[in-house]
Amino acid sequence: MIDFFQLLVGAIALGAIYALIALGFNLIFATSRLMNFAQGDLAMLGAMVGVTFGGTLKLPFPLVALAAAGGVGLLFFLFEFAVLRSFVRRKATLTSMVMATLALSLFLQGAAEIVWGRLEHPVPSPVSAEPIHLGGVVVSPHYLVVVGVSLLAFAVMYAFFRGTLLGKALLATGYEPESARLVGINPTFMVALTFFLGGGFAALAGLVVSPITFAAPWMGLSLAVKGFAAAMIGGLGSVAGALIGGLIVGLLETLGAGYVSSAYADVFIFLSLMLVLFFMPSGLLGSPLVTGEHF
Amino acid sequence: MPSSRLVLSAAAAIFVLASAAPRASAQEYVLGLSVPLSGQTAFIGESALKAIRLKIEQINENGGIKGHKIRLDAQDDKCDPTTGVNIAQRFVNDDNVVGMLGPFCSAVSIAVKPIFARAKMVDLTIASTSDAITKDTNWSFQIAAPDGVYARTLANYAADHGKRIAVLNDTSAFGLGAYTTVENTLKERKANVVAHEQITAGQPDVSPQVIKFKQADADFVIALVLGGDAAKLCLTSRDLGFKAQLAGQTAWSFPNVLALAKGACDGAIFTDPFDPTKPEAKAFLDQYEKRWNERPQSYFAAAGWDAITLWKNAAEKAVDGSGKVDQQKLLNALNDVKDYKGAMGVGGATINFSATNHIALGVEGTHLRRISGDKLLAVEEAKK
Repeated sequence: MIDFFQLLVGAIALGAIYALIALGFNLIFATSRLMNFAQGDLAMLGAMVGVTFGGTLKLPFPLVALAAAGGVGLLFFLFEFAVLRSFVRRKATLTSMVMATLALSLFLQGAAEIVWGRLEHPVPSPVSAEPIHLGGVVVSPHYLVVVGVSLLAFAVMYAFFRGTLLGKALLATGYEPESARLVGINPTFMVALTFFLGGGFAALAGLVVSPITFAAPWMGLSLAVKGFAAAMIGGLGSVAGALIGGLIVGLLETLGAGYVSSAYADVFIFLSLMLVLFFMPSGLLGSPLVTGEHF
Repeated sequence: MPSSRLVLSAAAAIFVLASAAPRASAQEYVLGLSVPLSGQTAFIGESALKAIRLKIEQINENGGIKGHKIRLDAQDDKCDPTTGVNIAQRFVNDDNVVGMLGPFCSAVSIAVKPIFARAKMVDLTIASTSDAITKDTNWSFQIAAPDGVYARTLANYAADHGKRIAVLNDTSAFGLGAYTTVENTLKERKANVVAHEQITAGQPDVSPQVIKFKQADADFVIALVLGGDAAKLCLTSRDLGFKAQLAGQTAWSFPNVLALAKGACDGAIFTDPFDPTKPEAKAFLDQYEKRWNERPQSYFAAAGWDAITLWKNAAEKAVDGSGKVDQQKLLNALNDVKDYKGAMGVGGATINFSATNHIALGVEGTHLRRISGDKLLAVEEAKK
C-alpha cells in the first residue's frame, strides 16, 4: 500500500506538469483552433531560462519563474504577431499555420542546442532537496512546488474566466467568434492574449519540472506529446479538462509502469486516449469546440 | 662588376634558401585530429589532446618519423556529426594529412566511417564506444572498449557479487543493445535475476522502476542508462532509501553526470578500460604530469596516448619510397599489432589487431571503478 502512495506522489506531480502544458494547448486552441506543436519546446525554453537565470545567475525562484513565463509568453506572442498574422493576411490555411508552429519547435530545439549544448543541465529548486517522510511515503519537497505552481495557475485562470470581463470576452471568442465580434470584442487581441498565456504556462511547466528531470534541448517532445494527450482526454479547449486530463495521463504513466510494465507505460496512455476519443470524441468534459464543425 | 655579381649571388642564395624552406615543410607530416574542444563535451577532448601533443613533442625531438616532423591539425568537432563530417572531408582531401585520429564520440565516428573507408584512409577512433564503429569497414579502429564489452564486464561482475540482480535499460539503441548482451551473459552465468525494467531515455520520473527493484529486494542493479537518467536513478534510489549496489557504464564517471547527481552516485561502480596504477599507465601519467602539471583520472588521455603511439609505430613501417605514408601499408602494419601493452587496459591485457578485429580492448581489458566524490577509485577485484 505504501508503494501505491509512493507511486501516487510521482503520478500527481507529473500530472500537474502535463495539466499545465495542456492548459496552454487548450487556451490557444479555444480562440484560434490552432494545434500548437511548439508547446513542448516553449516548456523547454522555460527550463533553459531556469538554467541561466536560476543556475548561472542564481536569481531567486519567483523572479526566474516570472522571467520564464513572461519572456517565453512574450516570445510566443511575437511569433503570433509577426508570423501567424502574416499567414492570416495571405489567407493561408490553418494547416500551414500548424506547420509553422512545427517549424518553430524545430528552430527552438536547434537554437537551444547551440546556446546550451546537448547534454542535461541541473536547474536549482527553490526548496531543500531533503525528502519529507510521511508514514512510509517519501515526498521530495520540490514535488510540492510542482503541484502548488500548477494549482495556482489553474486557480488564477478560473478566477480570470469567472471574475473578469476580459476572461468572459475570451471565453465568448472561443465559443462564438462571430457573435463576440458583434458585441465589440476584438478577436485578434484575444488570440494574441491566449498565445501569451499559452507560451507562459508552457514555460512555467518546463521550469518547475526541470529540477526533477533536468533541462535539455530535447526534453520538449515528450512533454508536448503527454500534454497533448492530456488535452485530448480532458477535452480540447477546456480549462477543467486540462487539469483532469493531465492527472489521468500522470496516473496512467506512473501506475502503468509501477503495476504492469515500464516497457508499456506509454502504451497505456495512448490506448486510453484512443478509447476516450472513440467513445467520447470531444473528450471527457465534452468540449463543444471539437464537435466536428469543420467536417 | 664584382659588386653586381655579389648582389646577384646574394639574390641567388636568398632564392635557394627561400625555395628550400617550403620544401622542408612539405616533408612535414600533418596528423589530423577530430576532437571535441568546446561545448559540454569538451572535457572528453581536453586531456586526450594534451596527451597527443606531448607524444608529438617527443616524436619530433627524436627526429620525427623517418626524418619527417609531425604537425598536429586539431579540429573541434563539438561531438556533432555534421561538423565531424566536414572535418573528415577536409582531412581526406588534403594531401598533406597522412594520419587521422579521433573522433571521440560514437555518433561522429559512425558518421565519418564511410568517408575514411571511401578514401581508403586509416582512422583511429579514440573514445567512441558504440559497437558499430568497426563494423562494415576495414579502415576504422577502436581504442576505447565497445559497449558490448562494458555490458559483459558489468554482467560478469554482477554474477560474481550480486545475490539478487536487477537490470534497468533505456529503450535507445545503446540500452537495448547492451541489455541483450547483459541478458545473455547473466543466463550463461546462471545469475539470479529478480527484476528487469525499462525506461524511455529522458523519462521524467524513475521512481516506479526503483520501487519495483525495492519490492524485488534487489541488491545489485545493472543500469544500462546514460547521462541524466543515471543521475536520476542515483537520486531516486537515495531518496527512496534503496541501497543496492548501482553499476553502470564508463559514462557515469563523466563530470556532467556527477554534477547532476550532486553526490548521489557516490559508491556506484562503473566499467572502465583504465587502471592508473598499472605500470604502463603510471609511466604515461608521470610524463603527462611532468608536462602539464595535472594527473587525469579518466581514460581519455590514455586513449589518446595509445592511439598516437600505435599510429606512430605503424607509420614508421608505412613510409614509401617517395616519403609518403602509404595508407594500405599503414593498415597492414596496424593489423599486425600483437601483444601491445598500452596505457589503456587493465592487468596484463594487450592490444591485438588483425584484419578482422580492429577493437583494442576486450573484457579482460576492462575492470570496475568506484565513484567517490570527485575521485574515481579502483574496485579491487580479481577478474573472471
